Amino acid sequence: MTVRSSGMTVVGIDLGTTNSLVAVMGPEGPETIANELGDHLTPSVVAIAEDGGVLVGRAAKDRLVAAPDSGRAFFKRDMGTPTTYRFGKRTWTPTECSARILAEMARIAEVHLGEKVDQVVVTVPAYFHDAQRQATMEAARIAGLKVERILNEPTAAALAFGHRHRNAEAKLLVFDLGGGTFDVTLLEVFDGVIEVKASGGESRLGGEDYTDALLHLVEQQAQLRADAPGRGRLRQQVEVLKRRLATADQAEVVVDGRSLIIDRAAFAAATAELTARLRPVVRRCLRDANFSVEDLDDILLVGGASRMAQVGEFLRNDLRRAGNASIDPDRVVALGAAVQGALCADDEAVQDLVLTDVCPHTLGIEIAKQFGPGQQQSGFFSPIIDRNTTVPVSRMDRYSTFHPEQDEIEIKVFQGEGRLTAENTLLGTLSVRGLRHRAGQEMAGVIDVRFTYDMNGILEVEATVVATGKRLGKVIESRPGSLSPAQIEEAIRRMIPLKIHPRDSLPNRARLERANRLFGELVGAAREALNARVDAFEAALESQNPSKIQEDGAVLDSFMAHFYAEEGEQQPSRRDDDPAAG
Amino acid sequence: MEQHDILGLSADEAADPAQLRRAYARLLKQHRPDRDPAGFRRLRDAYEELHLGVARDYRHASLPIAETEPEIPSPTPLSSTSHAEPASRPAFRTTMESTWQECTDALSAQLEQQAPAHSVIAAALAVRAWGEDYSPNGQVRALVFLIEELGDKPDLLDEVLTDLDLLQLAEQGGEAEIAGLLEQWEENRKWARLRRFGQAAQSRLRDGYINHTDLIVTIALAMAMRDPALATSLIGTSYPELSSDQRRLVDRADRTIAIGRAMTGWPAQVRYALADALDNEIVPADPTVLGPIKRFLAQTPKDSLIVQEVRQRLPALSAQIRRRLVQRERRPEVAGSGNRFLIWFGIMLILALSRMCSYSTRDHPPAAQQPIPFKIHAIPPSQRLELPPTNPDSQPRSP
Repeated sequence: MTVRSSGMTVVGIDLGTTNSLVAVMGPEGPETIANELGDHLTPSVVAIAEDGGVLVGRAAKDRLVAAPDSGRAFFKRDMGTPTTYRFGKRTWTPTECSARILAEMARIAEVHLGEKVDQVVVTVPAYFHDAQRQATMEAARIAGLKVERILNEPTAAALAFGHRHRNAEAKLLVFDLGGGTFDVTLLEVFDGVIEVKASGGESRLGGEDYTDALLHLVEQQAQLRADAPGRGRLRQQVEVLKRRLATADQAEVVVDGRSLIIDRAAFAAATAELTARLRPVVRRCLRDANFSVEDLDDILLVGGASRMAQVGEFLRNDLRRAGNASIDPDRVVALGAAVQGALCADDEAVQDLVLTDVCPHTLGIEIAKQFGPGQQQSGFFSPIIDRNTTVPVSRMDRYSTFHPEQDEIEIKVFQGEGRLTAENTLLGTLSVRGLRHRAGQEMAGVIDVRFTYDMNGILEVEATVVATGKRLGKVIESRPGSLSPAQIEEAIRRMIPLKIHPRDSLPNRARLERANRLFGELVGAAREALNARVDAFEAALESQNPSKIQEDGAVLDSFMAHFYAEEGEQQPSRRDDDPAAG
Repeated sequence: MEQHDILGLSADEAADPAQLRRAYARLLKQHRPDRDPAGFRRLRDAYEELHLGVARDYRHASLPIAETEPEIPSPTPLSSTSHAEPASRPAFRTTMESTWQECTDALSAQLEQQAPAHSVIAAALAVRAWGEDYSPNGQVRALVFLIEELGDKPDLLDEVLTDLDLLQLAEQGGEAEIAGLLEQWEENRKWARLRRFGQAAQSRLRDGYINHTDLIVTIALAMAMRDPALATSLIGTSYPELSSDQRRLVDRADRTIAIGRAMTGWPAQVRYALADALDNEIVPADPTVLGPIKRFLAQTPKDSLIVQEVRQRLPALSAQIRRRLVQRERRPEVAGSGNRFLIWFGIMLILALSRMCSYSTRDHPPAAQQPIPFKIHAIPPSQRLELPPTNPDSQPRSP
């Protein structure tokens, strides 16, 4: 047990596929923090500017519209895989991209709190496997942050809910359809205990897939071919269209100057396959938790995509009730992460709250089975810790050698749900010797294998030779796709920021990128007018004169606001009452 | 320390779910999972055991290793219909007759309630086939029996026969013809149907309609005798959906599939009957199983390996049966339903063991040294029932 000094702040970061948020426990409960642009949502995008500087957030997102190859979005989907991207004259790992976002979120929190932030709670989809969690931890390390806890997103949502309704006694289903992942979590809240009963999901199903399907539908109806530069812009329009269709029966999209009406039914039909994938996940979770549909008291919606009409219909048909969006689905995860941050920091406000979580995957070892004398077959998976067991947990099972002369066995540790190990992920191995049968030995050739799994998903394997009492232990660290220490060092070195020139500050970057994007959309006199204002602003930046920068920036902003006002939802900014510090 | 002490409750208090949960919630705040993992695990294990009624390390607890009994137990009382036959008749035949009796009794009872379980009818047919030296005539007699029984309930008869694809056959006349067709039906229809059940169950499972995933396993078990490869793939697909308890069923299924593989070339009826038996329980859950085994022992030379094997295992077997009987008394509605299958199992066991006997003199080459652990299914190796190996020399005969 660690004694922690109070007054230390642990912020919660929702590192999302599409957008990221940071939140902190305030006197009134958890609150999300707006960035300098007044947005609570910072796009999870990294890009390289024309001058070689690194852009993150809104600026990077706008940059990608103008130059799709200059950066990367949706890298969360590749976390924990060996995938790399190439932009800005070097290769990037998904982990490095995430590190940039984490550093940015911490910086936003620092500006708001006026103190150094280096302890964080980061959320990940419940269905992230160990390699993906590890990659997330590495990203935080690269960003110079200490991860107090990796928290499952639906669990975070439950925490936000549990914190608000701490005296409730309820069985809840958290339905989290984010940008790139789908998670379902079943939990029970009672006496200040938030007990996760089961969680499951699909790591490649999310709002972006719906956007892709809608984009495809629009392209079909407009008889367009998919060409790269125009497509990026069209995709943004389609994104807006998708959001409109969540509330309207039909909506309009303008493609190449032509107006196209898409109705909700067509969208639903085009995405029926995606929606059909929701149901087995929900059912399996209900089964694992031993809940029936009637048991559920409420359904919490998390993730922007859960607002879609198809989802609402699915919930009504299949779970026979509507979802509850009383806490903003976009922000609930970050808010929950802040609650967990407060728990980690021993905050008074959350003393009466305890969260228990489950492990999302089954862990076990490879075994052979004997079906008769001389008849054996290997490659079977023998589960030791079943999925959805409350963690931390320690479980033991007993195994033996086949043959009295067999002295050694290799324990191969696997994670997954397949019956055969070939379908599962190998996490590591442990060799045990000294099992040959000896005279007078009882239980010769028998070993006990104990798995101990902690809250951060670290697995400890211990094998005991029963006859001799000899023990062997190992912490499983080998995770596919993780970085070596040298690679982490290198990534940290790359992160060291250069001295910040005014043109590199976030609002100015974002402003310039927005201008670049607008430039691509305008023609004629309007483009000229924009050009002149951008030139003036850039000159001001070069002069490094704050008052001039502010003045010319304001001029540019008001000019651009004129055009953006027409687009409306394209700027999903949330300028609410929160003091946008900085 | 008892589990309820860990929760600071008396045994009575712990029996009340509300009190149990309150105590757990209270203690949880002292043993937070992140601050005191060991304390939490202890608390959680105690809570789960009391709350869910599951011993946590149940892999050890739920299938207890049989306490060894010094002697082969005295004959367990048998049901009145069984084993009243002359000793000169082969044991399995007489058991079959009594099983047939049970089947028809059960069928009559079902029919009285106007709710014939198709499986019972199918069982009756299969058993009938057996009872007559594996002859298809038995099936015809079963058909006749059905017609006789249901003669005054034409609608019901129609339904049953249609369901069994038999009406058409019945209308086609000649007994020999029916016999031939029935044989074919036995060969094809039943298993094709099971396969369809399997596929349907699989897709319903995928859609999340089925709660009882064991159904899949059960079907796979039944199919195992017929088509081990299909059974393997069926179980494989549904495995990720299974709960831990069901996964233990799968372990059994693996064994069954292996038996199925080993028995390629055995007469079809033998395999079907064994499949049906396995379908219900692998571990015999009925004292009547012991009778045939003992009689078999009496007829076989004392020094043969197979007898030694069986003698060695019989105590454990009977201990398990007793335990099950105790469980069964708590669940009386289940009693009796599995008897006939279990009797079959006994017979199959004998067949399996006698099969094994024919290989027992051969030296098995020592197993290759494999660095792979082998799972003990709670029963230590010395008490495990071995199953017949595939004879590497014999070519599979088509049934």
